[in-house]
Amino acid sequence: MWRPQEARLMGEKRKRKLNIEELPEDEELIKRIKEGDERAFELLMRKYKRRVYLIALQSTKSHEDAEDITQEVFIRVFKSIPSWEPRASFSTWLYKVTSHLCVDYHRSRVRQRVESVDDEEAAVPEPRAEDLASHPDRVAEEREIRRLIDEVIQKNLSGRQRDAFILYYYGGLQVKEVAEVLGVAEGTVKMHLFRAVSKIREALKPLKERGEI
Amino acid sequence: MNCNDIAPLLIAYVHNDLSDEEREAVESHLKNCPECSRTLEETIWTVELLERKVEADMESVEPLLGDLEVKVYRRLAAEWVREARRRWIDRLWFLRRPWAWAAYAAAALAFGVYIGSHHLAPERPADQPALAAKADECIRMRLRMYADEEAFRKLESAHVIKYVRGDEWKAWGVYNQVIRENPGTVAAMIASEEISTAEYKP
Repeated sequence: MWRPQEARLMGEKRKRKLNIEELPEDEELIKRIKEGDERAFELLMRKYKRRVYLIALQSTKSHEDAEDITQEVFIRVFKSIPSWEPRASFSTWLYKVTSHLCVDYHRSRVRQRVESVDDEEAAVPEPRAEDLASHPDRVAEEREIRRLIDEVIQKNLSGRQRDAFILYYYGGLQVKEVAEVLGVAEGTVKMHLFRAVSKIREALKPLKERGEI
Repeated sequence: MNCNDIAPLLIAYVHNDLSDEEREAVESHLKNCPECSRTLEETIWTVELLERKVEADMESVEPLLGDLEVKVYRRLAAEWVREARRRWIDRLWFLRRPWAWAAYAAAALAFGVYIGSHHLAPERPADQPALAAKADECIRMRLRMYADEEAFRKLESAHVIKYVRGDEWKAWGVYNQVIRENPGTVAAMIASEEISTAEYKP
């Protein structure tokens, strides 16, 4: 039976994961950047670059384009920070910028009439060779799970479900913040997340039933 | 709340991302609903797998983004250079307005005309022999009329107009006026064949 306190524990765990390297809080970094501390901007990039990149990668399905968007996001952030006022959290604003750039990317792709975009898959790199050598079975299992989840994200989720899912899990935003980025109600975000996770759960069920998870 | 109301809240519940009121409603429902409790358990292991995947993805992309900060700074530097150039060009905004070019051309023309008419004495027009001859005749006429102070002054004025200001037509008007006003002198000059009767009829 589910114990209520476990939810609170998972919430705490999630918050810790957002700040893996124990970098300073966003407000402090922004204050330092406004004061001309370029080192603070580097820390800000280090803190968010992987999340921004992974969000862009899910949208563009190309490493080069995702990296390009990530660079552009930080360039815009750097230019805008002097006049930025914290009406919402920094991460919400950051992902809004990312989201807009991804939309622009798709518009430009449509203009260029590049075909076969939907056939490509987001190419998140495989685990490193040393991991594979130390835990070959676990890494192979993880790889299969990751592949399955990627497949569901790309093929089975609707656009809005995917956006909500990516911002929530890869962006590390709260439901309220995802709603703000997407411009929808919090209830809608909760429903998108539930449906997205349900679809992933259904895809993983066979592995669980075979005892592979 | 029934099961359909609770289901969408489960993900946020697992992540402790609900309001106190919502969380209490979910927990109250879960106590009495084995079906939703089972869904919750399945959601938990799915979410754990998702968290592991996100973490693994984050670690995997780290090597790809090792020099991202450097690339961002390079692009920023390139943009700063471009912006500096653009700002410099923006200072010359007046060169990009068509009406401004027309105004500059008009001003330059007016200035050229002013300089040309006031400061540059044209050379005696060698390509206009008739006028040149008339000018010589007027000088001779002036010598003949040296006793007539008024006529002398007018001819001197015409001389200045022609040679200093370069206005041939205005000078010619003054010469004719002198001729009209001094019919006796002109007649004497015609009689002595100093000037042509065809051109100087009083």
